[in-house]
Amino acid sequence: MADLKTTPAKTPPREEVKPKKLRPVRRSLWMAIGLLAGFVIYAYGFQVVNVNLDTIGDPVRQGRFANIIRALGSPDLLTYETVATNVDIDFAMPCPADGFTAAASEGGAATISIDPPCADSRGIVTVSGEGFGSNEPINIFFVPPNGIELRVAQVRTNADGVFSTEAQLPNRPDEQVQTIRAKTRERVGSIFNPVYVPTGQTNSETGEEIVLRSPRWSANAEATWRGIIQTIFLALLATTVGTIIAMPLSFLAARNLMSDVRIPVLNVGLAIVALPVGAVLGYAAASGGGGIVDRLPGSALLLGAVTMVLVWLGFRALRFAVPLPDTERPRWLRVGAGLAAAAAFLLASQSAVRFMEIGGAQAASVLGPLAFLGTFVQRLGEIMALVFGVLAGLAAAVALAIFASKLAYAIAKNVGPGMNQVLSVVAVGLAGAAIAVGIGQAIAWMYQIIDTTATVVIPAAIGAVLGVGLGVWGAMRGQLGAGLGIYYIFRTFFNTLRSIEALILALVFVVWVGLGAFAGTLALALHTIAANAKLYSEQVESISSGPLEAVRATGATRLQTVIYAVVPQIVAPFIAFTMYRWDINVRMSTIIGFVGGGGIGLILQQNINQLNYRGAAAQILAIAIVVAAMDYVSSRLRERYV
Amino acid sequence: MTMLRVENLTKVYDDGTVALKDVSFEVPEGQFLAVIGLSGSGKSTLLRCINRLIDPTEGRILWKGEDITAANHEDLRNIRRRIGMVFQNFNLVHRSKVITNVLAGRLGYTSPALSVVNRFSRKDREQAMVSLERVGLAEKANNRSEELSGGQQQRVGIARAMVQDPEMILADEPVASLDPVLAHSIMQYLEAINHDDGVTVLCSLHFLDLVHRYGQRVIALNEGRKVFEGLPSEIDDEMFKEIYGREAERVG
Ligand SMILES: Nc1ncnc2c1ncn2[C@@H]1O[C@H](COP(=O)(O)OP(=O)(O)OP(=O)(O)O)[C@@H](O)[C@H]1O
Ligand SMILES: [Mg+2]
Repeated sequence: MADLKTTPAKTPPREEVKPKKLRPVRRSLWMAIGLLAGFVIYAYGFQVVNVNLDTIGDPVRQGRFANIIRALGSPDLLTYETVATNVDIDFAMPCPADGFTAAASEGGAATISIDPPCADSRGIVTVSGEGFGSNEPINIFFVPPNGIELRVAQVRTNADGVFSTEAQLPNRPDEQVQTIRAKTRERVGSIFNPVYVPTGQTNSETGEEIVLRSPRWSANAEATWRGIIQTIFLALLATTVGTIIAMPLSFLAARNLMSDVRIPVLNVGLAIVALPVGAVLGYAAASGGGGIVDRLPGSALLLGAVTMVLVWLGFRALRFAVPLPDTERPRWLRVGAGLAAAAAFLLASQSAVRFMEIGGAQAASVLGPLAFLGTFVQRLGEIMALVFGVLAGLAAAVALAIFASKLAYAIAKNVGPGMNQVLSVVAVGLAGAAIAVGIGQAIAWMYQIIDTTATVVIPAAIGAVLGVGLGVWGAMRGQLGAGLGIYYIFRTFFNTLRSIEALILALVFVVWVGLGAFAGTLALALHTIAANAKLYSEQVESISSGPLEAVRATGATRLQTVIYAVVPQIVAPFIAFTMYRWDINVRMSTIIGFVGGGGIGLILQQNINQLNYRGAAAQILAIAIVVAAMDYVSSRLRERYV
Repeated sequence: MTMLRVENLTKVYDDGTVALKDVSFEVPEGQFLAVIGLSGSGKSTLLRCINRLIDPTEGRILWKGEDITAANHEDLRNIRRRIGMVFQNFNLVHRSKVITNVLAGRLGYTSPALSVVNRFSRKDREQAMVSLERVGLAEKANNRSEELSGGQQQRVGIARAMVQDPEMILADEPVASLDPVLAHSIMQYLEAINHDDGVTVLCSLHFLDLVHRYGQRVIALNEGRKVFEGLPSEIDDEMFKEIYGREAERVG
């Protein structure tokens, strides 16, 4: 092969940039200053965070700490039934004139004795016993003839099963012989060998006797279970919603996709003016469609059928509007079919929403224990109804903006360049006015200003002037870097939103929608949107640009380029990041309850506030297990997909 | 008939690099034009200006009488879909199937709405299979592209350009990352497309022997200026030094 050995002709020799060398003395000086600065910084840090070793060493505080640690070792999870063993001995109050000798106590191997054997009201006696289990807690009762036990002392046996304690008796003199009782309680059943204890009470409905399992889950354990389930689903919902919204938006925040989007000035101006018009039209159309559907009788069956027919019609119209490339069809027919399809889908979604609301409620009433499925459908319907107007507005805004852009191309083709520039300046001026009025309205809402001069006229004027300025500048260059503009807007938005911790968002939502897991879900979802959009867009930015340029070169539109060149490259990392986010959200949702966001954190906080450390221990344990499991699962799944 | 006419083309990158300076030339329909020059001389920039992957700073590019530089993005779509492009690094979407990569060549003819649901017409699919067969890779249609060797990937790249039904192909150093034997086989596909289908080809090349073997005409760039235009056989030692610089040595 005729190969080339090429030495480029005029490459200037590279200058090596050498780091400036400091003289040793100055280096030492700088070092000393650095050390001194470090000393001051850490000293100040100690002061502001109150590093106080006294409190760590304080025996009382150490005792509390030990209690918490011990409580962690025995979380409140199980409730045991107990059986009581009574050891009774006769007792006289007041002392009869002829004295009193008790018969020996009864109750198996254990015996108790009283010294003295009788006493006056409020007298003090010594109760001793032997033959009990070792280290057993014992309650001493005074039992008057009516049989109601009055506790007079609490004691624990020693290792030999012996105890002795003083007890002050109550004021219950009686002619009859009374009783002093030592009662021991013993747990029955064990985890591997549970027993069923009849309670003596009957169920008022079935008339059957209530039998309790021992041991069984404690109320705290059940609350923990409900809390952790709530927490997991809170995280799941927040992750899902956040991800669904973040994915499309992340493309707008990816520099490599946006930086070369330059749009002729006229298109930008007309599109911006079209956006709010489209939004209003779409919203109005949605509510109008809702009105039509509301006239229909509220029968789930009918609504379901109507929805299906409309969807079918919509798809037929859509197929007609967007034929396969081989078929030729006049443009106006296609546009008409497209509009018809949009209308059909609009009505279909409205009737679907109504269908879900009505049908869900009906289903819930007949499904019995599965009623939550019906309720879910109903709630989804309600959510869709809520989101629908917004979505329709958004879709119409985008559609109209695209149309405006096409219109701008058509105009540019048909008028001279000078005229085009004039129109561009006018359009951008209008757009500036529209944006400024929007901002003015936001400010008016925020500060509750009602003066329309200040919120409409002045902003419109300022916006128009700025717009015209931008328009003139743009018209001279022909195109505006609209892509970069959008990129910066979204980047800034996401960065700002991301810097607000989910916990703080939760506080805001608690104020808005009230205490509970719903507030937590909204807060986490919002945070997820921002955090994931950032991660996703960075992923999009790191794809290899070669395929992108190759697909672009085939004449693909921007949307097609994204679908065919970007999406295949990011599926795997997107899955990984979503798993990762779910993992983080589970962690987050465990503590979001501390500020009222529901889930297990709420229960944990209540237990800690009530100093119920054994109860809290159960929640801490549950959190640890779930977080560790999630960690494991997500890392395994990530390995699998990436 | 003139297929492509480049008039006073200048490209200055945002950082001030002048990649092309006042370049003008014409390409008649059906010609195989080789573009040569040192690394950094502006070959890639030139080819990318032609289908506006890069926006030129000054000058005009007329393609079949249509001004590409003035085209709006709807016109551009119609122009680009008839100009195939082949890249040094193949630029396949690795994670996608071979057939999907080839079908991407039909995107310029496909409605974006259909692309959202990943639909191509039956005719497109058949055409994609035909061109895969033509480059001898029909049986790899359902493999992931990353599973192919470099030479195979470039053949997929050529198939992708072919399904565009192009009237012109821009090939940016299509064989620079392949070994010499493979290089010839890839160049032969381009030659066949040029010869059998009458497709105009603009191909930048590194090796002079490839230029002699495949090029019908040559333009040479040096630091963004056109320093030579003529037949491959006209590149003598003096011309060679002009193109590649005084210190360059001709090997072989
Ligand atoms: N995106 C860019 N921004 C700034 N300068 C660029 C950019 N792309 C290329 N250049 C510069 O423009 C000049 C021409 O580059 P170009 O890639 O067109 O050369 P080439 O002839 O294709 O080189 P090679 O043979 O190495 O591919 C080079 O100096 C290069 O550094
Ligand atoms: Mg190059």
